[in-house]
Amino acid sequence: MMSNETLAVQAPEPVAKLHEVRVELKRRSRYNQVLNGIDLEIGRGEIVALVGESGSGKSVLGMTILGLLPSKATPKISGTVRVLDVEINSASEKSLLDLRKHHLGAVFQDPMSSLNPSMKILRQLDEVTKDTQLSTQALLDVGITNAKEILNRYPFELSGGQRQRVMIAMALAKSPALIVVDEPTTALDVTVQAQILQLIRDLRDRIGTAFLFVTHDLGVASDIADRIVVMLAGRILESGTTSNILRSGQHPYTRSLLASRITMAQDKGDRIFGKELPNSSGIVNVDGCPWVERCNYKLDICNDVFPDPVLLSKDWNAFCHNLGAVAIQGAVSGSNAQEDKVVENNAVPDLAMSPVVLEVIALEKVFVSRSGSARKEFTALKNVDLELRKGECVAVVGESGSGKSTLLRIIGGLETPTSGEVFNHTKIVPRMVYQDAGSSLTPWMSVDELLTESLLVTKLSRNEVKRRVAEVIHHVNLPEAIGTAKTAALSGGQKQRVAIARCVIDPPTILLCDEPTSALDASLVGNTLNLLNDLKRELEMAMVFVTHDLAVARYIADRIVVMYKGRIVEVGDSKTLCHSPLHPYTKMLLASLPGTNTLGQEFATDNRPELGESSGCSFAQRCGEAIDICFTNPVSMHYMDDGRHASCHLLASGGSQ
Amino acid sequence: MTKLDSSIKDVVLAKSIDKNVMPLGQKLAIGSLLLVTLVALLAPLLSPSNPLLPVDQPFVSPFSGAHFLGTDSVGRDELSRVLYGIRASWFSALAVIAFGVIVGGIVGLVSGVMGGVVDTLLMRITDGFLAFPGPVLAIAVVASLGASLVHTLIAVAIVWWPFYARIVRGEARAIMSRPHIEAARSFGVGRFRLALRHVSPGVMPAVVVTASLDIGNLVITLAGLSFLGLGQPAPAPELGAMAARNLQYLLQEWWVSVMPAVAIAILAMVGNFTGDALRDYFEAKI
Repeated sequence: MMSNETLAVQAPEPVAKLHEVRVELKRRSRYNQVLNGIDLEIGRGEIVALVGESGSGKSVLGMTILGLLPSKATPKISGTVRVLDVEINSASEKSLLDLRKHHLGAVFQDPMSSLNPSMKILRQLDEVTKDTQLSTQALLDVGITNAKEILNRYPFELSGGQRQRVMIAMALAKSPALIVVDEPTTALDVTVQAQILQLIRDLRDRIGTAFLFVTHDLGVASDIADRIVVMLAGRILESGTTSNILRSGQHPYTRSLLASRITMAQDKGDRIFGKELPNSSGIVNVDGCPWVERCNYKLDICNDVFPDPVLLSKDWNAFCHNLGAVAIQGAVSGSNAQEDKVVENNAVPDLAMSPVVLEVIALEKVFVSRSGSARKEFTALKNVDLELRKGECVAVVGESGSGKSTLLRIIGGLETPTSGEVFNHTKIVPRMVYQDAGSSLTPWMSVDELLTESLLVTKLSRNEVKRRVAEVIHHVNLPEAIGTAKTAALSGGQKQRVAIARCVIDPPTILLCDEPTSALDASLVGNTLNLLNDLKRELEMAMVFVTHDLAVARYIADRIVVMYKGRIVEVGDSKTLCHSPLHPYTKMLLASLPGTNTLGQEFATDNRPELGESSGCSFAQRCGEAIDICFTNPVSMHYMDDGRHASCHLLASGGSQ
Repeated sequence: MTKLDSSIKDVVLAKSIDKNVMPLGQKLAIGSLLLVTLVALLAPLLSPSNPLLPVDQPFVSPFSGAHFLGTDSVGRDELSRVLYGIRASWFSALAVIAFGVIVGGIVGLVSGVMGGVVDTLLMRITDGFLAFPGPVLAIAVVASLGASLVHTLIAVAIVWWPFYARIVRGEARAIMSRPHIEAARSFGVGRFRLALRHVSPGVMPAVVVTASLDIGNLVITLAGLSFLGLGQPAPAPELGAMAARNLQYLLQEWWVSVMPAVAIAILAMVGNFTGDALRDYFEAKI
């Protein structure tokens, strides 16, 4: 971390310099102030992370620097945006093109939509490099070892991580001075994300390219950035070196962002205190501080005047009228955390005594796809056993393709297993909370109608139904007035609450959650997890919680099940599993969590072609600790004394731990 | 119990306040549709005289004195005939479309929601109807039942609804594969309610846009059929027939056939503009 700071300090002149930048964009024939007086410098070879929730204007800022604001929105830009020697606002189209061609690069969130689907990678790269030799080299530079092979493929034939590498290779091909990367890892698995972040750092160190890294994830930002800039509603609220911001962010907004992170350090069983960020009313205070309506430290002046920067140390600014009060109170706030703590812990020990509500035995699922006469089989689940007790929460963790969602869908009755059994001892259909709450709610129906519908089967009287609907709306902390709103008009957090309300209005004994937080802004994750936790306890539901995030799993679950390629590789109580994992795959997942600062560690990539159904351990190819037997002999579960079990040859031979 | 956070309770449903503001162009297009419908409705009041009876000398020039659009070959008021013609064409087009939307909509919705064998069966029947050549069927119907506007409309409606069945079925299939359908099913929502509340509102935008784009299409088709003599019998004012029967005067008394033709063009354009405007409107909303 320290070496990066010095790098940033030494930067001679900035690559990009923004002064008093205001951008207005037209949407539905009305102008909105999207950026509101931005001052920012990006030094040579510096990685600056732009952090903020959705709608904070962070992506627009990136586009402004690239000179790529959508002309459809007829942007009004004031202030100066200087990139190298070019004034973006007043530059001609040709000089902008020239600048982008030679000195700027861009990588966006979804590489699939940024690559031309009908052109092979070779042609797309050659458009930039004009030379096949250079194209090959560009791919080698971003860690694609089988470059020759990849060049001859179409984008859809690549994995998500490979596509993102290709995008970075394209951006880097001209050794630009600055690359704007907009949420490049959000759509990727954690392990792939760790590789990409590592790659960006390496490239910066080697080539000296500066990066503007747009992200909503403070953890990612802390792994990669030299400097973090915190944005809200088109304003910069605080900016400083990564260590300053992370260790002692001063702005109240930065502090609540930091507090709302769910990390491995989170006390389990605690209510995630201070993580319940208040919701925004959606009305932006343009003149004053945008955080004011949600701020605990606000003064009268905050409503009307946006503060001048307070210089805390070199390169560290916070925009707040009341920093003194924040500093004093901040130290005290830790003690408030005790309030809710007492309730939680006593629920845990009963679990072993409570009845089993769900049993999954030797579950297998094979998907068959036909293309022409060719018949392809894909084994999504192989020999999966699971047991769930009343009031227990089991988290299922794994990368995409691990079969975790398939397992959930089979339990929910949405998919039929190829073989094996699911015994639901409660006889009550489990309810499911979907990953994307928005798409699981019928957009043209009102909240009331959707909730009422879930009670149709119960044949309750009309008044009773009304009472239950009002009660559940209250229960999930939504305003009463929300009942008549169409679900399409709700915000992301409200949608998730409605989706949860729909599940619990007729309380189920088993609640299935499919990544309910992964599509939410960081500030809403804590709220949602707290809500689920409260409901679980009050309604004594059992919960199966599918997630790719071990930190979230650790917080919410009593037990964690780790899956890899359709098999369960490790099961253990959540605290122990995260503290001392048995299986090398679990270790890898833990190490690739953002914010753990374990970059520099190499992860074996999953680029290698499938070897088909080999007889050995399916993880052996990626495993750093694999021994000969792993490639040849099938693995079986090894049970430990404390109830944990994992399928790994190393446990039998005593090689690990 | 979760503590009620007052700030959350105060949340204003910001997005629902932000009502859709419709651009002027779209307002104008939809306004013109309403205007034409109004004109069609009020044709008897707006017409200066009886469209079937001669009221003046033949071939009085338009834009002069008593007859705004002149008179025709037997001295009937051209404006009155055109207004009544608009009335007949417009309501015929709307009737055929209404029939198409209702019958095609139901068939398509059932087909899309049920899927499987029902879908295949209904769609093959639809294909059968699609295979009828429209004008030939119209000629056959008129030949067997006698020339009348109603008979022509029956013939056109028979070949028209399958388009709507196809569109609705396609949209319904697309909606059926969306996650909210699976979610609704997992909450025990039955097929009927699913079709009515979870699928059909999503189909509406496509249907409304197609229907309004179709108005122009139908006006022209019906005019073409009446041009061929497959509409109302002779004295009745009908735009296509008026244009056809007076072609011989085109070089001297041009207005007699051009005025109804202009009316057809205006009706078709109003239909198309409204269709485009509605499409833009729904696109912006989604």
